[in-house]
Amino acid sequence: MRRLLAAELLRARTTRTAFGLTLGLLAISAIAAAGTVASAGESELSSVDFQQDLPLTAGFATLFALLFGIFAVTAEYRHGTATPTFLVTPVRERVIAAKALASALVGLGLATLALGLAYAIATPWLSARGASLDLLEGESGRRIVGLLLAAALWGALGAGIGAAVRNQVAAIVGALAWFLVAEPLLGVLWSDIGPYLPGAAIDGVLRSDGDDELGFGGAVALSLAYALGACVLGAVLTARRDIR
Amino acid sequence: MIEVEGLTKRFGGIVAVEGLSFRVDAGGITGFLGPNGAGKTTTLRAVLGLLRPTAGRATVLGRPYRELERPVEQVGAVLEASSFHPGRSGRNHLRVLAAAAGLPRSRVEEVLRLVDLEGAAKRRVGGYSLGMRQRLALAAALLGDPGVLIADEPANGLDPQGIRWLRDLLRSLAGEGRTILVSSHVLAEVAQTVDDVVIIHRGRFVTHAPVAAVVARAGGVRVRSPQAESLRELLRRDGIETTGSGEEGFVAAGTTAERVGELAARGGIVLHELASDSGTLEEAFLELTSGGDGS
Repeated sequence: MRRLLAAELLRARTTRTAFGLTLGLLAISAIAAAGTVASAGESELSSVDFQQDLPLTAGFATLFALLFGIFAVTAEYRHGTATPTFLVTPVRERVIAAKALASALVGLGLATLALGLAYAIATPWLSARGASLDLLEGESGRRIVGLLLAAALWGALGAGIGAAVRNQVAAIVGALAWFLVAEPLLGVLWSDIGPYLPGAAIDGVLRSDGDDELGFGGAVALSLAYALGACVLGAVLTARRDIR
Repeated sequence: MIEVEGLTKRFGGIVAVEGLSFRVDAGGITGFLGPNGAGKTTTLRAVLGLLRPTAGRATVLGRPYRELERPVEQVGAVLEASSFHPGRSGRNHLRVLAAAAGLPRSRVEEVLRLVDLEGAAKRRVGGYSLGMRQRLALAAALLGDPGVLIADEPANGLDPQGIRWLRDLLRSLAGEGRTILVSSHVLAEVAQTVDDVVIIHRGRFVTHAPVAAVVARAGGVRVRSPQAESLRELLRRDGIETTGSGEEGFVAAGTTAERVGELAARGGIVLHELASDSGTLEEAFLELTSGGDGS
């Protein structure tokens, strides 16, 4: 598995997809962080509310991790590389597992970069405006950890979705339609199941304040179950499929 | 070595391969022939564990491909030439596969050299010609130095020079004791390279024989003689059919130049020309695979 993981990470480094996603994410994160600091009034800068919202400016890392996971699997079908890939590793479940792990690591990396950029922008700016940063205050620490975890989970979930759906456009459009439109809508219509839907569950990992229904631990456990479920489904479907 | 037993594969309502059985033994080059749409690719993909047979089974080295311990080092495969990410360089394509197979990076350089692709290795595959892609696919197949090589229409997209290069490479690989199965829809393309041929048509088995036997079966011998009619009569008595007549001579089917020469000598008949007609190679193939809308 270590070999396959190394191969997947090499795969990610040798096309422009991952670089493009990283650049896009950094651009959005920079705008979000700068906008947040710039729009805050002097009095807010040192407040707990403001400071613990800073990690959320890197929150787009989760969306990019999801996209990376989807790309990681669907590119194999789109470009026909599934054939050599499965010739090298005919037990296809192992390929999907490696891709899920690699996508989780890439998600973790994307979140780290986005967070690093957000704080690199905010820290000098805040001190220039006479405020200081306190990462131990409020929810900042938990949100930083939460974002790293959530991005990793979204990456793995993306790989599972990609493996199950196979078609790149269908997987991306379907995932975005579900997570950005259908799921929030369902959450409004049936508020008792809303927090237990996959998107909300992973979002809970990032935003949990400890006393919502799931709690941080519950959100992590449920999200992990969703990511794992998607990967198992994707792996089973992949193993049964004809590669033509 | 490669064994296909009662293989049937349906895609929806379409039967691609039906009840196909054949066996390729160790050593030598076997041609896997049939017109386009005969089911060659389907069969090879089933052998390589990429397709699930509807019925029957396909094994390599006595096992289904999926159960091989170290597939890359046991079986190499060249399938269609489009299996590359256009944005990745040729070298990186091979490096990814080598990493997944646990092969050293030095092996990538070795196979790049073997297929003459070192110069283009750092270019993105999107800019490769079809011939370069075929070479890259061949390089990928040889990464693990496998004892068995399966190639699906590897000559596609190669210019005459490339086809010659491929022929020499396959010959030298076979000379190293490898077993090679190479498919083609053009017999002439592989006739000089292969030892045996397996011919399929419309998903069914047609024949498996030494290439010389296939040629001999429809075997054309072109004969020109001032005593053409007497010779034709002699041949007819020996059970040999002849076609054509006149100045250009006639063609004796299903025999060899040696046999015709012997009969002519015995009958005291003068020969002006006696030649195994290589053009009938393709005719033999067409004859074997004719019937319906094939070829």
